[in-house]
Amino acid sequence: MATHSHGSFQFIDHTADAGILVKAPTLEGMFETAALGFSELVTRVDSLNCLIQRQFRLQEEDIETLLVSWLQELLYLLDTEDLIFGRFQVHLKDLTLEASAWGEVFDPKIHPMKTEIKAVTYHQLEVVEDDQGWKAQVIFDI
Amino acid sequence: MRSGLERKEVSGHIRKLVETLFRNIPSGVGSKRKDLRLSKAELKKVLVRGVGWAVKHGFGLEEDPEYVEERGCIQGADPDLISDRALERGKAQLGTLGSGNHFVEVGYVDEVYDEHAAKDLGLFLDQVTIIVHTGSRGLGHQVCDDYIKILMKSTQKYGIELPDRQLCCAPIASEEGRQYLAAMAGAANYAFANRQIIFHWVRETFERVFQMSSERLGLRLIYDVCHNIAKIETHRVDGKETKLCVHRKGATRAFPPHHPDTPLAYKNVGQPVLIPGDMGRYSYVLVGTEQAMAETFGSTCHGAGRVMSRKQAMRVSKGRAIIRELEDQGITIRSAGKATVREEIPEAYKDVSQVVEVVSGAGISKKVVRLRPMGVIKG
Repeated sequence: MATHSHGSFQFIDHTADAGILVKAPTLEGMFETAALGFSELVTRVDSLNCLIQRQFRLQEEDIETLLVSWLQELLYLLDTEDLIFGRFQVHLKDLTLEASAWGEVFDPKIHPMKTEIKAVTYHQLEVVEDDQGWKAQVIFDI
Repeated sequence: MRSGLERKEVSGHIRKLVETLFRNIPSGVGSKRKDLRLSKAELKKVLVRGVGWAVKHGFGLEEDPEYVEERGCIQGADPDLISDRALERGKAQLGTLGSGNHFVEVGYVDEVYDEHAAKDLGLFLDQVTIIVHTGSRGLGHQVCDDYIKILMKSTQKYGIELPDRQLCCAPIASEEGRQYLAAMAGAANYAFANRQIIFHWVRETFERVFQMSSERLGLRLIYDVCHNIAKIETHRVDGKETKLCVHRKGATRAFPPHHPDTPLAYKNVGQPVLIPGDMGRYSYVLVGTEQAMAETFGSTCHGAGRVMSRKQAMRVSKGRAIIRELEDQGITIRSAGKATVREEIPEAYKDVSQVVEVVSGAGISKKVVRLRPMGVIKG
């Protein structure tokens, strides 16, 4: 289990796909932790240097879609520019996300190759608030 | 693909062959082909023409498209309905394998069930074969993501209730439905071209290792078939020929002998059906039947499917030298990711033989030969 922004994530055991279960005291922390979970699925986050910074601005109609779009954004940068991030800072205002991510170009010689994520899905997608903060579940097509 | 080689001619070269395949075909996380980067305009041509584009650009033989479902080009693809994002993801990934369950496998025919059918498909005992399993890569997934967003709105618009957020739909004749089918056709054509380019590199690899032309090596395409696609086809419903949209997900087409879409060379035997198994056991070549036409809209299964999650497979394989275990069974494995081999251990999958017994017992396809792996590259 990894911790960041006082959040934690766990991989979900799923026959055909991969998933993460994320918990954090705040919604922002949950978004940051989900992003870390994404990176940890692809490689080992502790092997990443935070050399390159990227900024994001996204807006969606509901929080679940915003979470999926956020992770899709990270997948897009991995697929097109080989960028993989190890640190995240997220600000949310209503359903607008503004974020920074720090990472580097994925290099199989340095970064262990774990899973190629094909897509972030809406399958069994959940974002819920309880008395301990926020919880989310995201399933990836791999 | 089949070759004119026998198992004994290849087994001594298998390590070199697997190593060279691994070097020639990019695989694994973020795999890219540095020497095949297309402009957006050129990529759009790939989406419209599929295998035709690949052959025109020197990737393969003139005869290859004849042995691909839909001749490797689904009509009606409209690249303008495919987002820039999808094009960006697709640009660098053409001619790459990817990871997970995608693979290139060199094997041999270890059992013949139907001598006549095998002969028609150019197959014989101990013959070396090659299977390529990959698809439309990031481009296809982006098309899916883009249209899920659009179609989620249509699901509401047309008042359709569905049990999961990953599911969405629209009437085929609606604007959204038509647009999606045209975009999907583009993604399918990309997948056809992707495999075609990989077939070409497989031929080149054999040429290099055996120092002989691929023609002399007899490297010919048996068939290339889709595993996940919706197609407009004509089927008999209540005694009437009816145009239908047949969606085969985790399924493949299995058209019978004499069907107009079955290649001419196979008109007496039926369309080949390829059912890959896990990397340690078997794969099968079958052919389509009339019964499939009557009962399953000309469809059969596409593979074994997992029984273990990847995490379970990692647990079960902990401390085991999987590559060594397979080596002891005469199977050479090369993988880009260390975890992939453990996640993909044979016992993580259903025994494909049982799956094949079911579809052949049900009569929706007929067994022709069984293949045993000799060497596999995984992403």
